[in-house]
Amino acid sequence: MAGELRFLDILSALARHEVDFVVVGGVAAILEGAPISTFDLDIVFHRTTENNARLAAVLQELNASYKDPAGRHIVPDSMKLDSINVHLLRTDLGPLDLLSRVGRDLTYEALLDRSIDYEVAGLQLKVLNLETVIECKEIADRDKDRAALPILRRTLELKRSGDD
Amino acid sequence: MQRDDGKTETARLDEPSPEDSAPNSIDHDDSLILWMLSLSPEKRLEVAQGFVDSVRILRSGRRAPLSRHPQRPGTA
Repeated sequence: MAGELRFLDILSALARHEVDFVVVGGVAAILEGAPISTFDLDIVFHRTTENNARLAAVLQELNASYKDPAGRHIVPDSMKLDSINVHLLRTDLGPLDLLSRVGRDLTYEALLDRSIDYEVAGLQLKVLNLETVIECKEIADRDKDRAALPILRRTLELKRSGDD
Repeated sequence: MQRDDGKTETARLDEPSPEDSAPNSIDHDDSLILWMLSLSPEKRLEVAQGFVDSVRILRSGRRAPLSRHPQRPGTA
């Protein structure tokens, strides 16, 4: 059964199991200062055997299962994490989307140069920078991405003007 | 300016048009963005969590607890 979305609790579970990941999507934009709303947590995970195992342990702890249109109860595991690029999951702490790459095929390693280290409630998080969040949304080009782009671009402008 | 009924209407340049006196939507958005940028990342996440919680509570027919949200400067 899907639970109420708790951003920080999911992030804490990932950090506790020492999963290597980058926060992307709406939560990354929010952490970068954009006043938008989102109803899931998106991460890009480092796809290695060891990290997949750590991530699978977190997913088991969170009682994760795939959002299956047919209503089947399919649980993620290390093998699926290694072979499937997009995992849209329900967990006891809310929706969690796991991606092996984002935008123009940017993997975890490629995203490290485009990420900022934030400390949030004692957690050390790698968060995709707003420039790349915007780039990814331009590429995804869904209705919800197009709707968010004006405020994301304005946030970036104001961040840059504030840095001057 | 020639009107449809043939009478001439003179534009009053010294009076603001309705468009001029309407709130500037860009400035309005900027104030929200600037407020968000003034918060720590942890507070920004609290804002997002508060919004999620509020929507959930409203969907279930209860009132959202406002005290969980960081207060915007200048708001009661």
